[in-house]
Amino acid sequence: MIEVKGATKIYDKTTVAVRDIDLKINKGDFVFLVGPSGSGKSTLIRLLMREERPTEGEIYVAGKEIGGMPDSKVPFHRRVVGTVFQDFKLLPNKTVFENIAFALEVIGHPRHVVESQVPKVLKLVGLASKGDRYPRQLSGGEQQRVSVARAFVNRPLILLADEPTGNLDPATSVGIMRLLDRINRTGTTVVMATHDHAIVDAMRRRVVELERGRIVRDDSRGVYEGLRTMEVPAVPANGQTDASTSELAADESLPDGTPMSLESDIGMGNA
Amino acid sequence: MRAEYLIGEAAANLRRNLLLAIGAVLAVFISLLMTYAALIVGEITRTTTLQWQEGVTIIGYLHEADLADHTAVIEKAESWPEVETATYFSKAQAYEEFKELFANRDRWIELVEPAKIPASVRIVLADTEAHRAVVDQLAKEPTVRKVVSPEDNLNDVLTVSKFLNFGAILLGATLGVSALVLIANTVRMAIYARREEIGIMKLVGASNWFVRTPFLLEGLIEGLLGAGLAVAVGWVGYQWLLGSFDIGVIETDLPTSFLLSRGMLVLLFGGVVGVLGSAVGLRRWLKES
Repeated sequence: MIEVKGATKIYDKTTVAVRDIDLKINKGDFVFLVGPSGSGKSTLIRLLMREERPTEGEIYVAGKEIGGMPDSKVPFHRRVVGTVFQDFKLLPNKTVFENIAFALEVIGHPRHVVESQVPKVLKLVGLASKGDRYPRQLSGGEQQRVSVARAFVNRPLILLADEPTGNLDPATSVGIMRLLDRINRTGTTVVMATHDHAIVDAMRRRVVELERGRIVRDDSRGVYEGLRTMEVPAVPANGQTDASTSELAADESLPDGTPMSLESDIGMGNA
Repeated sequence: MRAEYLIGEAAANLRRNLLLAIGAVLAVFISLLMTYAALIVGEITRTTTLQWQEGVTIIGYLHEADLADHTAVIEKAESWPEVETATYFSKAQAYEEFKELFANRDRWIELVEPAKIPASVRIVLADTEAHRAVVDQLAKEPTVRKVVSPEDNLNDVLTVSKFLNFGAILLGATLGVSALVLIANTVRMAIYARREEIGIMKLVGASNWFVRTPFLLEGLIEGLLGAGLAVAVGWVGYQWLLGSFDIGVIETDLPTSFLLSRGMLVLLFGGVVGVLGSAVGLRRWLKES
């Protein structure tokens, strides 16, 4: 689904954001990109959505090389990739319904598709009754759900999320993670950059750790701070406490380190 | 729904930036009004000149002399290759013409003695370009007292009108550039006002043309509005001048087809300026994916 081959991104000819990245992500995978600020997580996400071109190397997404893709083809690439950001990026003057509909309208879907798809996805994210609200009338968690709904409404093959829980409190974050997990279970590949130890540790999914632009660890069922499997200078723990972890665990009534079970309370439904 | 959407967006942009849009429309209007006026004046000059040039006549007034001397000059003039015809115009004929020309000015006719009006040779040129040479050559003839030619006056008119035309076109072009810049600026402002929306459109895979079209339409509408205004004002202004002044010898009555075809040209030009202006404004965005 995604294959990165020797990708390097250098900004302004001097700042190396990612260096010689090799990464393969299969269809239906759920991958966390972890690492300290400036390690290159966001750059990698931006490369995958083709917001940036790699300075060197190739990036294949859904069978197409996107690094050297002409700009005119990029919109089609974006249609197979949904994106979610820390700051939601909702339009303040449009309602929840309109924000989601916008994503379908601008790629040319007719009205009947909009009218059938938007309510479905609103239901999926648990905001069925709030379609006519404006973003400012919603909590942060709800706004992020809208943003996820918008990313998912045209059924992308891949969902890229850059710190989607970065602005949310731990309990709200759990809700967003449940949603992403549920979307992942529909077969959508999810790649999420995050700082959130608690989430990574609780979900027990594939963890790719970056440091100074290089991949230093790739665990198939990893935790946030695992043993480095590749040569690395040790990084001091960054002082983030595990308070949120315990809160998450308490909330989910799960022992630390077990995969989060989500089916029980959301079910597989109509996704 | 798409066409509806695109036009709606363009209209919304215009409304949001009304003051700037008005400025851009006015700049296009003034620039194209100058151009349209220059086209009209140019055509008036051209048709008038044509009328005068048709069978342009050089008149050589002759000294008092024998008929034989006069005939010699005429035969000589007729032998020049640039000359089509050289005809003798006797004192009597000249007096008749004088009376005809000033038929309503009896006092002038009373005052003029037929004998005082000189005989002349009238030359119709085969090659109007050679006008100057023929005038010079004719003046050298001893029997010829004075050579006059309407072209002398014509040249003055032509010089002045060329100068005016050039000035109008130059001014029109300068204003055209400023109109383009103003349109580029309004489009840039509109983009800036909607940058979040555009960012999201690109994020979810809206095609580049889908993003650009409303802005190009905005420029097109501004350009066409300005041009339409220019044509309307130019046309009405021309009709009004036509009704108000009778400039005698000047052929001012242009065919409607001319006004219409040049009006179309001006409209087209306005549209092009508008689209070009918004393309300039969009340039940064056209490059980005």
